[in-house]
Amino acid sequence: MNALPSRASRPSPVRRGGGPPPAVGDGARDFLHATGGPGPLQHSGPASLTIAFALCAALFLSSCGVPASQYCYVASSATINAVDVGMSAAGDLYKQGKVNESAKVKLVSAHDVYRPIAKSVVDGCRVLGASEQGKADEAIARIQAAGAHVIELLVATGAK
Amino acid sequence: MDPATVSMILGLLLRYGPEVYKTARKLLSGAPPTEADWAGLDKILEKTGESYFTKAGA
Repeated sequence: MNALPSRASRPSPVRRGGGPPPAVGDGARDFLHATGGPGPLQHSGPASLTIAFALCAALFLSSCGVPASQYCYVASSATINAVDVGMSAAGDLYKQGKVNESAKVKLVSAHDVYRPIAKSVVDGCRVLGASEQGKADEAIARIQAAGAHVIELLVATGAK
Repeated sequence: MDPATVSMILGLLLRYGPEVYKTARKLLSGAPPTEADWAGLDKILEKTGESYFTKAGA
């Protein structure tokens, strides 16, 4: 007469509460599986870490009552630092001959598109008033979309 | 995972791990951004895509 569910039917302790880090990890892992065989960046820490880093910071801040400018700074900074670390790692691997020329050209092109967007977002975030949450959300959406494209390319570089 | 991949991952983590940790701590501290923080972002955004791949390094 045990009213408790069996051990097998209980929810996983990792999933309890639905916290963002496990979901981000699963998404990144699924993406890596979808991109094909192993490559220089595919199993590396920086690509997965930077995605998790940017998304966790944004999710964390979206649930906290911080001024719009600070919220905008933290979320855009997370994306900018994530892209910077990812590009630096890709640059190191390129110098070691582990990233090919074609992947490098794609990354440089994507970064050249991302950079002016990121600059304009940072300039906009700087002058946001405390109550301009809507503008902050819009700016963050822009920089995350541009940064996500670079990060996707960084991850996909490992599948070549 | 072959030893070359493991050594590469460890190398990258040793190279960038502390930097990521420090940045994450700063961002999650909840402190309002200072002018130096904004200048730090400007400095990162001065790097072109090509500069990450040049021999001099980013």
